[in-house]
Amino acid sequence: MTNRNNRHTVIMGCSKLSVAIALSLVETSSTVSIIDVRREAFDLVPPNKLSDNMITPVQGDGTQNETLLEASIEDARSFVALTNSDLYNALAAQIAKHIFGVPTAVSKFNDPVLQKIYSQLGIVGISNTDFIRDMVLNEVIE
Amino acid sequence: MHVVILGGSEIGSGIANWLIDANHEIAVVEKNEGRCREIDKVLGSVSVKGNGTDVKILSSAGTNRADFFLATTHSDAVNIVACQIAKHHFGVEQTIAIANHHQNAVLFDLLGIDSVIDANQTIIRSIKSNFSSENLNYLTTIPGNRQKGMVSIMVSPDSNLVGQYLNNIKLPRDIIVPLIISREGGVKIPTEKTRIRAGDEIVSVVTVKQEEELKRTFFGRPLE
Repeated sequence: MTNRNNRHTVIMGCSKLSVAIALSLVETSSTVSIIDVRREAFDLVPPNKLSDNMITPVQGDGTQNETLLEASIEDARSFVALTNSDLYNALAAQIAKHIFGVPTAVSKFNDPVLQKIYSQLGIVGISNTDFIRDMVLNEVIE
Repeated sequence: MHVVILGGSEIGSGIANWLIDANHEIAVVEKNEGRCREIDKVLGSVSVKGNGTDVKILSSAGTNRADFFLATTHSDAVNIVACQIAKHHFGVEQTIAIANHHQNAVLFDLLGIDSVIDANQTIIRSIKSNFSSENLNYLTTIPGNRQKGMVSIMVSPDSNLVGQYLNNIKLPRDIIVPLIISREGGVKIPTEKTRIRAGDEIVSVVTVKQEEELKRTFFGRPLE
């Protein structure tokens, strides 16, 4: 039943960033499910990508097993948590990795301490702060 | 001993009160200011107002020198993240968390929380033990195997098992009776000479399916 040879990614939190990531992934012939509690969040997804089933919207709570199953988490090779809540990102990423065995779980963190802790616990922790800092420093430091 | 308790609701402040009575040092981390004032009024200045997943707040509650960290909020996300910060950032040896959703109890176990309280399942077990017509009591869950529980089953005076040797009773497969508690409260490890008496509590560790088989053995089926 599980077929992780598929290039399937589950993204939690439907923002402009999530959609940009999803659009890049479908260009490499991957499929993407995006989870969000707010139905209107899916207005950000281009309608033609929804109609050709490359991006599947799933309305629900990404920390609930039923929602994750609906998003085909069992087929996913990656899970990406991009909501604005560090806590929900951490919880969902750990459910994806430890309950559903998704090989790569990425989580966005606003708090650098959490980013550090979870990076040591097998979650790929990313933070806006780091990227923007690096970009600014690249410009400012010769 | 120093204990940091996250969440100042009835559970958190109840445990806080108990620990203070036992002369332990505690801090209660609570985000609601009014509740902090109430706690301080009743228990002395023990509350730390703030977010329990903020490292600075946890630090000011003395989490770095805590022997136990207990997370009791209604949010599983808060409870798990706070316990993981306590364990992996502050090096707390013993973490205890309430899992508000049964689904997350398994995850909390997997993530190395030392003691997980599956809140709703605990309530369900307590309620089930009130249906005493079945004479079956739920004693505790088995750490590491959420499918199994320790139960006791009471032998009623009119049971046809009264007076029989435990050896002669055909128990369901894979079920052993390691302990019998008599009506007077005496505790014995059964031997081949042990006879079942009215009012005995037969203790065993069973799955839900085995529980039914145990009930059939003790209530439903005549002796073979």
